[in-house]
Amino acid sequence: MGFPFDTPTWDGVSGAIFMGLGSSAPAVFSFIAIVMAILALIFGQKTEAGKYRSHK
Amino acid sequence: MEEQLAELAAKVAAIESKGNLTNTMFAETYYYLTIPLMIIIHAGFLAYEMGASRAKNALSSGVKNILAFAFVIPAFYFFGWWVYWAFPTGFTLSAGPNGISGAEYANGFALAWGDAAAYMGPNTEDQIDGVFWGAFTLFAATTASIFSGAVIERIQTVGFVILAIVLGGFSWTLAAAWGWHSDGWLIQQWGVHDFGAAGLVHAVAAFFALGVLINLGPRIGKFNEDGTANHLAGHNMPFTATGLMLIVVGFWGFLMGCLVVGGESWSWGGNFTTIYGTPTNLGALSFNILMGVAGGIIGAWSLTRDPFWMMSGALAGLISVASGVDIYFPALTFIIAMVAGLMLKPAATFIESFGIDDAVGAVTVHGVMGVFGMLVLGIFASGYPALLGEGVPTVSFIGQLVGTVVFVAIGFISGYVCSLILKMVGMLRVPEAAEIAGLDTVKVPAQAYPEGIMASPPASK
Repeated sequence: MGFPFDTPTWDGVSGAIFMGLGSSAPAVFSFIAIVMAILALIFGQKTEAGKYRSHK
Repeated sequence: MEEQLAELAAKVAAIESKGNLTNTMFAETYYYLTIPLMIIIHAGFLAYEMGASRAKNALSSGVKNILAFAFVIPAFYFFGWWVYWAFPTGFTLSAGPNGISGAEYANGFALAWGDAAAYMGPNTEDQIDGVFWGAFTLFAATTASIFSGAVIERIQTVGFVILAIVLGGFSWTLAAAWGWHSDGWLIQQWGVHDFGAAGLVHAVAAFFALGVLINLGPRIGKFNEDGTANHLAGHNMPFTATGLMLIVVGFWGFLMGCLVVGGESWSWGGNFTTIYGTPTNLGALSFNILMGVAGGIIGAWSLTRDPFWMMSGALAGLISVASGVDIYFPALTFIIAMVAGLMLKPAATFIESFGIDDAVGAVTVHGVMGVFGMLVLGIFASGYPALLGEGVPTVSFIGQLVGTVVFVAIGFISGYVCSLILKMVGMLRVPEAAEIAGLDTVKVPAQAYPEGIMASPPASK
């Protein structure tokens, strides 16, 4: 991903400093994070429902 | 002479610059410290809920509470923060009179993509967004924790998490945008004053819980065929009482986070103010929080002698005065809080008489006392300017009533509708067999008390 500034030093760097700055990476990371959270819920619901079925 | 003047001017500029930097760093540190203090609220709710559950459900109640905390954080990051800044003027998404609201404004810094992302991550020139977002996220998580206790021992985990996301990411945020933002229409048009969020956090969360409880139904064994209620005692009263005390500790951080600190980009000047820009300070909070907690405990003890209600009374006292801890006189705070403590148990019994099984009394403590706190402020603070500046609306009983109705409606309608949908798709309540067996046995891969618990002597009559 690389250092998002033209210089290889912190000298003169200010403002946003996170990885992926100035690219589409924040949007991509956000999308993946939201999808992962939703998948966790879907998988959680699936296993929870299975546990209830096995205790009928 | 000119040289000396230039040197002096340079020195003054340097001192000013250092002063501004100190102010900014103080504001950043201040909000940062409210975050771990507010996490203590969650430690408290965790202990409270687990202790109030029967032993067979102790860990599943804990799992549910931890997940509410975890899921509300990204929900608030990805959309709750934007909702707070976009909606103050209502559903029009337009800018308010102070120019710090509306969709266009929110799009500039409260989204995790595009140019706004610069303010939603590490940024050396932005020392306020991160910590302000953090404090607000903990307010959001607190609403989910308030709701969590009411529904223990019979709600499905994922269904609960979805409800917590709706409450923490949207419902309370909408209430905060309307009643806890200087552009909020409830303040601009009605002069609503809810400094410590008795209405927009506590009442919203509690009435959200009430909406869910209606669809969820009571625990098996809670009510007899003739409608009379049974007491389903939790398995660990010391744990519950300690949890409640931790919640009280955490609310110092919560109320600390309700202050706006001078010297940051959204502050109203150089000193502490409320979120409405009106003057107050930490001294006001110190006087009134302590007197509120004391009044609530004494009121509840006077009527019940029960440690559960005494510690609930501490919370009730705090919530009943939360709207006005910035301006109440401490003796008045004590009176209001003691009345709240006295009202607590009868209010819980009244709610129970409608067949509502609110397992920890959340609707009573946070809902009834939140409403009481909002309205009582309308009586005593009537005439106080609701905002900084000339020609601003003033606090009134009618304004507080309107605010209360709006907050209750936001909470109740969103909770009722969302839980009804979850009920229709079979994601709200656990099956009867699982409830009877105990949720720890059914779905938690750990054992709360592998060596058992020693029974204590019978309760005093």
